[in-house]
Amino acid sequence: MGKKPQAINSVSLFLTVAVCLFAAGCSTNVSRFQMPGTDLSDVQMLYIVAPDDDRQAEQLRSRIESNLERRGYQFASEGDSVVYADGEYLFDYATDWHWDITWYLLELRVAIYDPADNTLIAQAQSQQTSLVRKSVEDVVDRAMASLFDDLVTPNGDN
Amino acid sequence: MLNERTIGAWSATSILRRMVPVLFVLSLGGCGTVTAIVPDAEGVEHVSAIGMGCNKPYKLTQDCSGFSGATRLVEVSEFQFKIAGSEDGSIVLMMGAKQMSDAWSGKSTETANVAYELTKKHLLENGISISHTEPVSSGSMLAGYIITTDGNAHEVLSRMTVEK
Repeated sequence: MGKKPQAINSVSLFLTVAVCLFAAGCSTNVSRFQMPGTDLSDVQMLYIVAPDDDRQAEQLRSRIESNLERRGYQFASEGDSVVYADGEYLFDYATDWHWDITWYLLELRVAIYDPADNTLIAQAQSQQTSLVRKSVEDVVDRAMASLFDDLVTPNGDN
Repeated sequence: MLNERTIGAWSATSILRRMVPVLFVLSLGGCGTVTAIVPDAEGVEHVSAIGMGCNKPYKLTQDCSGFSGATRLVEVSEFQFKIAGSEDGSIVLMMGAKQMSDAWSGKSTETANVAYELTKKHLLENGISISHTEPVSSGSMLAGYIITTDGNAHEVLSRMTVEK
């Protein structure tokens, strides 16, 4: 008789833990940061700095380019000979691929830098957990929407 | 060695409690090393957050704890983070102000990146440049950055100290 409540407690604790783990394993998060005193209104041209070595590099690059195109920005690859004019910025992205049975894109960081002194203008990070596994395209779109501030995220989550 | 006495002392509940953080981190992280870092640190070998201390890989004599890392809480542009520094202040370790909650919410990379970018800009405005940036990570979690500068960065950042 005396053991039953403890058994129930253990079961309820286990269920709580299981629910918490499941919920934690199924989350996405998009966050944005903009350097105080900066704005993106004068951005016209973005020089893309791609990671040296990346999984699904072409797919990522192509999705980023099509997203920029859709927003009306001009873009090109960054080069040593580029002389930056007003309205021209660097666009950097970095990915974090993780292995969990198969590879998935855990986190994508997209950022715009001022080429004059390499300081940040704005950045966005899109993160997902293993159980979510949205496509590369979806992760890119979410990060870009956040970077350009057209994603409504009252709590930073959606 | 686990014997019957040990198992008896570790009730099912306590084992579950101990397993929760481990399972949580595993379910969040999978396997891999964090690479969504700032471009200044791309391609640089990561410093292990577990292996590092106040004397390794750099001698950090200011605001450093062997247990918790950086201890001085500073605020730049309303963003808070912690710093520790070398004797001459040219090397600074920066870490998130809330390491545990950031780790739980999966925001440690974002926190470290924002802290780094704000620091870089603030130092530049004070005539100090960062010459080398090393990510500090533990598995899939980015704990912060170690920066090497051409001036007393620790002193400049210490002016932004927040009283706890």
